[in-house]
Amino acid sequence: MNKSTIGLVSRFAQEAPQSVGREIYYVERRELETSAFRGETASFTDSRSVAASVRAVAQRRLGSAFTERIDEESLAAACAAAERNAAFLDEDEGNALYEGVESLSRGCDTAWKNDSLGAEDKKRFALALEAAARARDARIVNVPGAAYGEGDSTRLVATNRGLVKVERHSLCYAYVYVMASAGGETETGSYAQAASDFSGLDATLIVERAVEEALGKLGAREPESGSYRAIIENDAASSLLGAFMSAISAEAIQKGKSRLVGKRGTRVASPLFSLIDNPNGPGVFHAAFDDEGVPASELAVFREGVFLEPLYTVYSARRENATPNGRAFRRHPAEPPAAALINAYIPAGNATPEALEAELSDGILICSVEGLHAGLNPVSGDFSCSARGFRIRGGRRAEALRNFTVSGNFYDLIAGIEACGSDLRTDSMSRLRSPSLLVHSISVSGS
Amino acid sequence: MFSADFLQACLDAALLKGGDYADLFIEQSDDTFIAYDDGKVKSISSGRIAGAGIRVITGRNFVYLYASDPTEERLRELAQAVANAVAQGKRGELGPLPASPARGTRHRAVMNARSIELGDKIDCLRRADAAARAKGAAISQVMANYWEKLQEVWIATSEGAYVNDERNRLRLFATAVATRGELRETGSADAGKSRGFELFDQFSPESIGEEAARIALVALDADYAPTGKLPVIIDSGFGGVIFHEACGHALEATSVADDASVFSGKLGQKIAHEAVTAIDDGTLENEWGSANFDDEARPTQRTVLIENGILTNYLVDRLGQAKMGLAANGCGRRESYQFAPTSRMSNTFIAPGPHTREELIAAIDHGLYCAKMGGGSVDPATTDFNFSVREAYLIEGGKIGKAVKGASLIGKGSEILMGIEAVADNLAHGAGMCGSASGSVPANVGQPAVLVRGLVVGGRA
Repeated sequence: MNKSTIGLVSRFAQEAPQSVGREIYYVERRELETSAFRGETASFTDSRSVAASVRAVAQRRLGSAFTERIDEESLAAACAAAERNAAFLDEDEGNALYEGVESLSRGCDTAWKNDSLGAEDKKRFALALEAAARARDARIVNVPGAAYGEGDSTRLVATNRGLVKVERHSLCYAYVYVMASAGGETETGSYAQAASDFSGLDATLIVERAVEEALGKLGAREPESGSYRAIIENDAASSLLGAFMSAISAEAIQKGKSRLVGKRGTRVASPLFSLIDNPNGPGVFHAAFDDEGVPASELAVFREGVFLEPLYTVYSARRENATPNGRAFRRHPAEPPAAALINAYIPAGNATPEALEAELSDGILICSVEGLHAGLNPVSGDFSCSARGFRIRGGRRAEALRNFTVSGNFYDLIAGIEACGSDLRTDSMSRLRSPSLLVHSISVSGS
Repeated sequence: MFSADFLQACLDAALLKGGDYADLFIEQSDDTFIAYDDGKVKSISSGRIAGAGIRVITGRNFVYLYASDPTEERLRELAQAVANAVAQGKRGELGPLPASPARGTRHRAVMNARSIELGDKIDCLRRADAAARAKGAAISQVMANYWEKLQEVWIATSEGAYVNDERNRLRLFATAVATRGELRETGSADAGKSRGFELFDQFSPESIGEEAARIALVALDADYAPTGKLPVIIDSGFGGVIFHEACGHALEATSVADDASVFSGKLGQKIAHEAVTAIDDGTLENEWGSANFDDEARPTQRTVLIENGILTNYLVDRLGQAKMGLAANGCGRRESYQFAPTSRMSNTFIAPGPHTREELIAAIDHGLYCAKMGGGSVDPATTDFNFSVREAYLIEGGKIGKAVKGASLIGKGSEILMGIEAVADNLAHGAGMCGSASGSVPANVGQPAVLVRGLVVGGRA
């Protein structure tokens, strides 16, 4: 982000009269992705985009407007539209902007390691992934997805209280999606890895895991319906638990849209379950402040089963006279900030995957869950979604399983955690990372 | 906007070093999103999305570059950057563009949302909220969203097509929470069309709020759904998500052309029960997924995908045409200029059959009746799909019995298509958002009630 843009946006934020609160959130993004198919570069996309959102608060009314044109005229129009919109809102005690006055610039002046790489290096990486996946096993009949991508974004939050914060964040990723066939049966497998820069990606690992998943599914059978003790493998646990994270938003709790109403400070989960959000810890998502400019530091949401603190935005903190804890997040400047985790994890235990299977002895290993965007109720905590996995017998993996659903309730699930695995990833694209979890009971519907 | 000569020069520059085909997509959209929550207007956000993308296809491959805030200078830079990213080689022919773009005339808004006062839009949300709360004291919370998107696009191609299309879309979505003690259940309902504010003449905000509350209250008194394989009746409207997930995505050129679909190479073969005829139709008047042109400048069209069980067509975009040698059929779509277009569904539905819904229900001794469906997803390579059920009842002795909740339905599309044994006559459509490689696009799903055997019902054991 150049100094003239920072100057322009900051000036527009600051020139509002003090009787009105004004915040401008501005983001510049560069995204690149290249994919390979049958030995050729199948696609190459490269983009640069900018967008800004203006929020205006007057008399406990908050309006917002956004623009993808960043010049004097467009910013002035967005400021006017935000104030116009605010006039139509109902008064709400929560409507406020962050009152901090800090200045911060992080990461903007240092070169990203990936900047020194050319587009051809990135294309070659995707081509190599595809070739390695095809060569890995004769049963791999197609590799419809083999890609490398990267994202580099810079955020600016400025207010007329005097806040100006700028931060750059970059990451890259790669994934492979393969099809395996044997005996007229086709199965798929995929694996994705993220890193802070190119050197953190491991093509061999990505290919190994994707191929292993596809081959492991061949010959799968339907399980018998019933209630099983189960291991939910790390990525599946991340997906399943992550789908319920709206329940830990302070606003959802305030408005009765979470079963955590009145549960703060009480034990709601197994003592083995903690959930820590550390924006400066291992993992690929880092932030010094959230999308409202509030400082973000380590936060324990659950510790040893006790629900300690929800995720606050300025709005929800204001409604209960609490201090915002820097968890406001916007997918796009057009959207209002909502509470979200930044770089969270469930602390690992000591059990290796093999030890966890031995401990399970008899049950089901759930390797993936699908359909979470629709098959759950974040208010009640109920879920029902399709899954893939293995039957565990005698403490070892037995037959692969297909065509079944797992169902249960989020709160029962975290209360029933009996052990956590040691396999917590730091290279996943998920903002909530989990190790494999051994759980007391999950309902399986199959044949 | 830019002159045809300028756009032609950009296409020429994009193909400077080689490439078979180029297209240029310019978008200007005005979005308004209003959220009503906890009995108050929670947020209003409005603004303009403006950007452009240039794509070059060479053989089976493509390069796509985009940028926000399109100016002449930025488009020139994009065209040069695309040319630099394209592997050098043979250059395709450049057809002349007409001096002015072809304009779409259908799917117009009668009451353009731009001309409606913000207060009137908010009033729709208040009415939905009030109607939901009036359904009973157990309704403890209501969330309602109003979304209008007025998208204008200009698309020019090296094949000489140049179009300008305006898409007016409006949607109201309501969710109600019903509470009894620790028990909290939700229900949701919506209406979305390619229309202006006259949408609410057809679907009153009250009816949307009441429907959301009714579903939440039904769930409050429901037991968990059973588990296992059961015969299932999926009713009309959004029930069409079964075809969308189980089959539709696997008929898109995006997966078919790369041999990543179970339906690759199966044109002319029987892939579904003879009771099934399935259609994708982007021309349906004012429907949620309709447009005059697709995002590759082709007129939208009605494409029969399956006729009496026989696979008759795929959904083919321009890249799919290059890969498969089949003519593109007006289905190249994208969320915005930030995505290259791919083959996508628009309004997809199963055609009506000869039965009544009651006849279908009477044919089942023990099964599940799914009155309202939620969303789902699929792996096109295997057609393993899943979708959630929003409102369901047991069927006992050919009659609808008690309500059940928390069900999902899963199966393999290639098998389930054969398992659709009977189709009723009550065709209806439902609006949804479909996510895929080119982003999230408005798509209708539709069907009459269908009887399916072989689905796994995921309830509680």
